[in-house]
Amino acid sequence: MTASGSEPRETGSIHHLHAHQFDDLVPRALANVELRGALAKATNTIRNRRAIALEGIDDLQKLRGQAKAIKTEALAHLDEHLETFERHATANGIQVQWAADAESARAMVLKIAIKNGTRLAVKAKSMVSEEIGLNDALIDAGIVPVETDLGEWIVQLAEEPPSHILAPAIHKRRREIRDLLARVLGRPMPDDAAGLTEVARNELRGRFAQAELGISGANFLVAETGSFLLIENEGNIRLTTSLPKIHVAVVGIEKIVPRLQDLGPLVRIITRSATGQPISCYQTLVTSPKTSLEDDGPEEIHLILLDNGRSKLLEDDLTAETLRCIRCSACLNVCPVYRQIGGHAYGSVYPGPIGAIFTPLIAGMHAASQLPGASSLCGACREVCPVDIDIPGVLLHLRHRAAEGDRSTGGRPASDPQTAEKNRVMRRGFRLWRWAMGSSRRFEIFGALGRLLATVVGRVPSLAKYAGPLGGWTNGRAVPRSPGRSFRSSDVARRLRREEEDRKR
Amino acid sequence: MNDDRSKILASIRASLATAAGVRAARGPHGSPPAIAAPPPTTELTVPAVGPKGPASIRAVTGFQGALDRVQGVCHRVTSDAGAADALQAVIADLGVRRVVRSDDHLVIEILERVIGGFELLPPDADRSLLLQCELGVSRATIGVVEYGTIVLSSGDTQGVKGTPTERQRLVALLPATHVAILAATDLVETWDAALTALCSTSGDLPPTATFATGPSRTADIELELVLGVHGPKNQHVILLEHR
Ligand code: SF4
Repeated sequence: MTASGSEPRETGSIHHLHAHQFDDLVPRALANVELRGALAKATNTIRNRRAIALEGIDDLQKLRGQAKAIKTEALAHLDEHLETFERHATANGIQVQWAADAESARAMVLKIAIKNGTRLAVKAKSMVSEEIGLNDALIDAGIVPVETDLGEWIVQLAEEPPSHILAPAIHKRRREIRDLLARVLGRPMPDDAAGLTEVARNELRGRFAQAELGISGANFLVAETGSFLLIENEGNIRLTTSLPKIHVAVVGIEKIVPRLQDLGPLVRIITRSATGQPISCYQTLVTSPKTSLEDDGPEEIHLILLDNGRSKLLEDDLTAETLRCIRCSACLNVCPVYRQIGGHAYGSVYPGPIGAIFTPLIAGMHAASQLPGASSLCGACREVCPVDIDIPGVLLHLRHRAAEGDRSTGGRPASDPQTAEKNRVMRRGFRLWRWAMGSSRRFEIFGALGRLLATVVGRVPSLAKYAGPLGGWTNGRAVPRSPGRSFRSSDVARRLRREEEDRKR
Repeated sequence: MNDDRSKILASIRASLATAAGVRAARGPHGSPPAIAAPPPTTELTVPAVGPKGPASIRAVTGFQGALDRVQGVCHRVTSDAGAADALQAVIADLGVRRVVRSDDHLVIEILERVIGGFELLPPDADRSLLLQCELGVSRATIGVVEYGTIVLSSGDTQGVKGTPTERQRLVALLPATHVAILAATDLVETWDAALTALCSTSGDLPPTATFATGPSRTADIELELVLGVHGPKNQHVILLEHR
């Protein structure tokens, strides 16, 4: 099997992806002052907590190095580790299945659910489940999926997608949540966060007890022992994996680590990066279903290994870095773009810097090529990333892929129509620019023209909207005052020219 | 579906081969590969867990302090009778009517010393009854000094797989208050060491092991910390310094 053949392997898919509407979604998000207020407050808080949590670590860079090395090693021999994992997990009594794409993963979950007569499924928050659109598939099959993570439950009731990898309801104010719950549950709600949380606990208890099926993701798969680790704070994952008779975990293939001891450094860094806690409340290591009559765990555990375009990322050392991601969401909280526009504007279940690279890599450039543009390339994301993913590097790489194409696209540009149009205009603009710069005569003419336009638009700002592609630029900025005459015709420039000629002589 | 398996593995192998080809073509002067193989195996092994001896006072106070920082409560006692007193006080304080216990022998022994006033349920009681319990008592197999973490390993009372573990999964999870009984000799310094100890005691991993640090919590509403979401709201550890 060759990868360099003419047939590029298919990419995966992401549920409810509308990243191509990025240009429309962003202004809407920016106009939502309430959202921006909530976001600024929340991301600042998490950012500071993270910084404080990491101060306590003597050798942060060494720990990051370890975490990076573990994931790098795992990916370098991904095929072998997956096979090892499968062998051990199967020996432990876990039923392992492989899903090449989202559709096949959904079908597997549905089959298990239907076989066991599932009417109600409790779910622990899982990005992969969002990625493959599991909830919609369950609903279509007549099964009620209930999200049990507090934030995820709130956005499910609001019929919205999550807006943050870790804090799905980060964009919602308390007031909004109170009104939402009051409407859905049909009774008055308390005003404080503790009271609302109590309501959620009581509401969801019954669901846990009734559900025939528990669905989760996993943070890490351990090849050496065939176990997997679930990390959480609320206890809903413990309930999801303890009460229902059947537990299904859908997990991306990149979650593998070779050895049990690899969990140490990863657990040490993930929660600190995520919420700023030294450690999360619960890490649950699942190794097998219940083995005796007296035990209380699930009778069956199914683990679905999902590819959905991931394996293709390994073709290139740079894009492969994306698979190191442990979904801590630190990059979201520091990103100046995410902090302004929030998660929904990305039009993908994976928002922020990691979403801007992961989304087009998984779903294909034709679906999400504007996202790599959603960055100022300031590098803050890489600086905080616990596994040192070169996010700015991958962003640039993808912008290049959209504009020029690369090996993976057969040398042709690969982008959605909007990006293609932008790139076309830009290319024309720069061609004109190059021509204008080509002779001093043309340079002067264009300079004079520019000064004239700037003067006119400066006087009548409403004209700016006719400036074509430059109109966007003037949207949020005042047109600078024109200097009247060019620098080249100033006294200083003339003197400099004279000096230059003297020196030559 | 079997087809998916070979498809995925083939795709991974093809991609890795492509990347290796590019790397080779770039030659030794190219930029260093992002995915390189040198595994970090040696430095990663954790400090070996020493033979179990009496726990140092430093470990005990360290554990207590760490648990305190995550809003848990540590009761240090020096006899089984003291443990029973501490448990009795917790039960009385909270006005608990219904208690569920695990089937660990130490837990049973200590509960026998506690004077009644509440209904005591065994772990195999009906689930609807378990859901009504306000307090659960079980054993912690390991305590982690650095974080105040307790390890709850659940599963197999018969030892079908590895050594027998207690039946405590729901006991430590459903009630609003969880009281863990922890012997000071089961304290280890780090999280990593607890993981090592977990495999080395049984040679095999239990069906599930939960590393629990303090009461369950959330910050999903405006990032405000709230204790007690789905898991226990109160986490007590009775630390037996004499064991
Ligand atoms: S890219 Fe890095 S910082 Fe962002 S979520 Fe993934 S691991 Fe965390």
